[in-house]
Amino acid sequence: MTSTDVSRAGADPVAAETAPDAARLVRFRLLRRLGRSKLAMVSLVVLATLIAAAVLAPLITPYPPEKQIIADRLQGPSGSHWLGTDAIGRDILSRLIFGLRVSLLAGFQATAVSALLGIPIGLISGYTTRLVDGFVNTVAEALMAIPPLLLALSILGIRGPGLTNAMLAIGVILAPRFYKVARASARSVREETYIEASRSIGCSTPRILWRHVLPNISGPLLVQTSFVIGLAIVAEASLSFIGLGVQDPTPSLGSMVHDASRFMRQESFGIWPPSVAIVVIVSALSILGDAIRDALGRD
Amino acid sequence: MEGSALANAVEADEAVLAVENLSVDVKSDRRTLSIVRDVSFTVGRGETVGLVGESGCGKTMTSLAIMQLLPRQARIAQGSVRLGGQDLTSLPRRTLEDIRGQEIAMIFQDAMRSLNPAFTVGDQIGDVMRRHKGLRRAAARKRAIELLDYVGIPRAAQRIDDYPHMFSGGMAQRVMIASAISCEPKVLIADEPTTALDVTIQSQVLRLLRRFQLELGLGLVFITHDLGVVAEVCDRVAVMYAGQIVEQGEVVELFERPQHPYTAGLLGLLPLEGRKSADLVPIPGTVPMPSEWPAGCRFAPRCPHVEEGRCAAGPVPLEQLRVGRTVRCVRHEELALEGVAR
Amino acid sequence: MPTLFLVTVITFLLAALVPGDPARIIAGEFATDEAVEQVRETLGLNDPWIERFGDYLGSILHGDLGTSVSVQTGRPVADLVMSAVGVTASVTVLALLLGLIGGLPIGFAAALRPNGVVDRVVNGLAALAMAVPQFVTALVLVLFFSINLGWLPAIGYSPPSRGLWEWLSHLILAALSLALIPMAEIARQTRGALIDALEKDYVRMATSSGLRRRRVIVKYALKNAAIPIATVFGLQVARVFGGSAVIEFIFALPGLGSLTIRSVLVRDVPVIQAVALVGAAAVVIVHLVLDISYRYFDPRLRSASSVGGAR
Repeated sequence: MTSTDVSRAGADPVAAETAPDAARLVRFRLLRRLGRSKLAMVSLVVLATLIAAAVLAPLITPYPPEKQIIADRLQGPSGSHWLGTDAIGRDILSRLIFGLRVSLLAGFQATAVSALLGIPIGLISGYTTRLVDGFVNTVAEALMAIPPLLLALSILGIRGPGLTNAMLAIGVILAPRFYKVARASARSVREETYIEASRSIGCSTPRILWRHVLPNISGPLLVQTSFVIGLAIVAEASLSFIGLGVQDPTPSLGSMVHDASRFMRQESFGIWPPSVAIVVIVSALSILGDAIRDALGRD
Repeated sequence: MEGSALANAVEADEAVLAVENLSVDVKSDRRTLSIVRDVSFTVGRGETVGLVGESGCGKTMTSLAIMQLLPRQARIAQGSVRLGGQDLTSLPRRTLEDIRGQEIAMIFQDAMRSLNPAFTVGDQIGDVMRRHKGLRRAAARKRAIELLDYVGIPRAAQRIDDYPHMFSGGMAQRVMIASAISCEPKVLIADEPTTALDVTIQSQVLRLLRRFQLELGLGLVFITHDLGVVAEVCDRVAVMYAGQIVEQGEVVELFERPQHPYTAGLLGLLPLEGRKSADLVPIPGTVPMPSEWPAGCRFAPRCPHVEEGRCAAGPVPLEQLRVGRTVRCVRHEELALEGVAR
Repeated sequence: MPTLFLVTVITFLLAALVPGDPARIIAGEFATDEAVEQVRETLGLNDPWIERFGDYLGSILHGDLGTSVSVQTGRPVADLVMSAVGVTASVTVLALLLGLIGGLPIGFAAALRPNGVVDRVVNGLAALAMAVPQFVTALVLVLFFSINLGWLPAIGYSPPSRGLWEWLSHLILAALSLALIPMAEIARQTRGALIDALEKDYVRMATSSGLRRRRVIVKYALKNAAIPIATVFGLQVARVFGGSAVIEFIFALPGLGSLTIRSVLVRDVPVIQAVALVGAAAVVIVHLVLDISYRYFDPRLRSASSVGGAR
């Protein structure tokens, strides 16, 4: 927990009010420590490259992703098509880069949804009285008891397929992760003296949550975020694979795997580029998450 | 090879345990540190030898080294541990497994943590006996009840099926002792067995240990930081500081005429009758970490009798004053240190 | 138990999220307003919420999970669920078993020599395995075992009545795809928990009494390591159950998962509700069983433990 510098502010309310700056100092030290792990640095570079590719997609793809050249369908890698073509003659490399863009975007948006859902509820739950917390927690536990993908499917079933609904559904099923972290941290921070000090000089609860609790738990939240983005990307890929996420002709890593799998017997190469892309992204995010957790732990 | 075994041994050939020039190294952050250096002492049959020092002086590591139970990062750099003629440091693991429990046993400071919470005490004590004596389950259980009774646990026949968390600290300590002596070892190492207990319970446990010694002829190595306990229980004592033995001898003699300033300092802290708390002057400074140990006398930075030139010059050898009496101090002949009468 | 109750509340509320008018959807696009109102009355949609929930709860307790509206119109949902549950249960149980059989020994081996070769390889592979989505694993397995080697069938289901090997051969690839991630998680947790247990004081005490190393590890350390391992196992149950949806889709297995997907595609709300309920119920039951097992592993958790005489 990154509460070291902040808690030293002790019972001095003035110091307590300026505590978030101390949190920033901690973050700087964190970045330095992160730099020492070679694996983490490699992951960061890989992720940055992929994000850059996704952002620059329209500029760097050799072919438009929707362009079909039926004559060239289902070819393996070649000079003109580095990763081959799919069943209706579209260039896989171009679709991959655009698919990357869609999947990354979907992952970030779903993560944002889950954070917006999970963090505030978790903070409030952890900070308020046992009674309210107990109630909220039981509801959360009930939600978490439903197998995640089933819940997502249920939500899609109710609201209809499509990328937006898929991201909403994924956001909901991943929210408990943020909820748990926010709640646990809020619970522990609640007892700290500087919180009492702030309360004593008349700080309102939302302000306390915003200025003191939140910066303090930014570390564990950052760790979770890294993992959650990975999970969101996998979830989106799974849903798109079934056909309930993105709709044709928009490429997504998941739907690309699906398209390729239908012709696996004739040309199996097509399933590899998007699959490898998913594995690489998720691995990089996990490694990063672990590295951040380690770097924080040594505080 | 300084301070050879002969200098320390009281009854070298009859000793049940003879530790000779034991040194332990530890790997930490890619460095190798020596945390125990040249420790030698012997334990005779029915004799209690105390190993005394503040925390961090290496006494626990020494005891673990004797049992060949050092943690992964530590290893015995040199020296020997002779138990009834055999050198434990050179034995294979399977032979050690036969010897531990049966010839030599150990009890630890926190009894509650040393007993497995998932199994009954009867099961755990029984395990040891089934292992070494080949007893069947029923016989082992019967014997375990006898042992519990022996160590003074009331209603032993019912308590045998209780889990460790159902015992109080003092009772758990007794259970641990029962387990350790169940196979009647020749040597028992007790690492701060009473430190975590109330004073009244403390004396009960000490009396228990003394009783076993007499009845079983047990050689006892008693590790503690409390000289008061040493006075109560030990026949001989070795004082350790910063990984080395700085003084060794019979308890009465050492207490009355200490030869090393550290010993005198420790004695000065005993809350004896007639001493007011204002008289108790703590030894200035703090125990140094192994990485900070000076090349010369390791106690010099805190010693009230230090003489810069002589004390910090180089490593101080262990001198033998007579059989069984040693001291590691260049100035010991000049100093007339104050002791206490038993 | 309160969890289960809340789950029913949640599944009930799911129906409330349906955009549009359910009565109109059922009555059809061309129905007249009176016809829609008629449907509304029949479905009890005009009743107050509490009453509707009460009805819902009551019918569930009687085993009536509603009637399918689009997947198989008119057929009781309970029927659909029952015929599908067996398949899903087979795949799920098989997958979890494989996860345990694979994960426990691997984690065990890694823990015996921390930071040794085995340990680092295991850690690396486990981390990689957790990044591979289950459908990718499934496709790779199908590609390899079914298309290239032709050993196992790629799709379809064969009930056990038609031969045990047939039944198993259709399930094994599916189960393996689902099992990879739990296997990795269990291996990791086993390694961690065992290493922790081996560093404990009671293991040191047991070793100092001369017990054989194997006995110390198997008897003393393992039981204490069991709880964190069981916890992680419990988490995997929900994951596997959910993941089976996609896997059943790929392998064309007529289980709860493919039922769900079909009903999602046609917006069959009662079926969706029922599946969510059943899934959650299964998870809750597993957690309950795990809770009981905790008490076996750690006697300190048994509530009746008062301290005996000598406190």
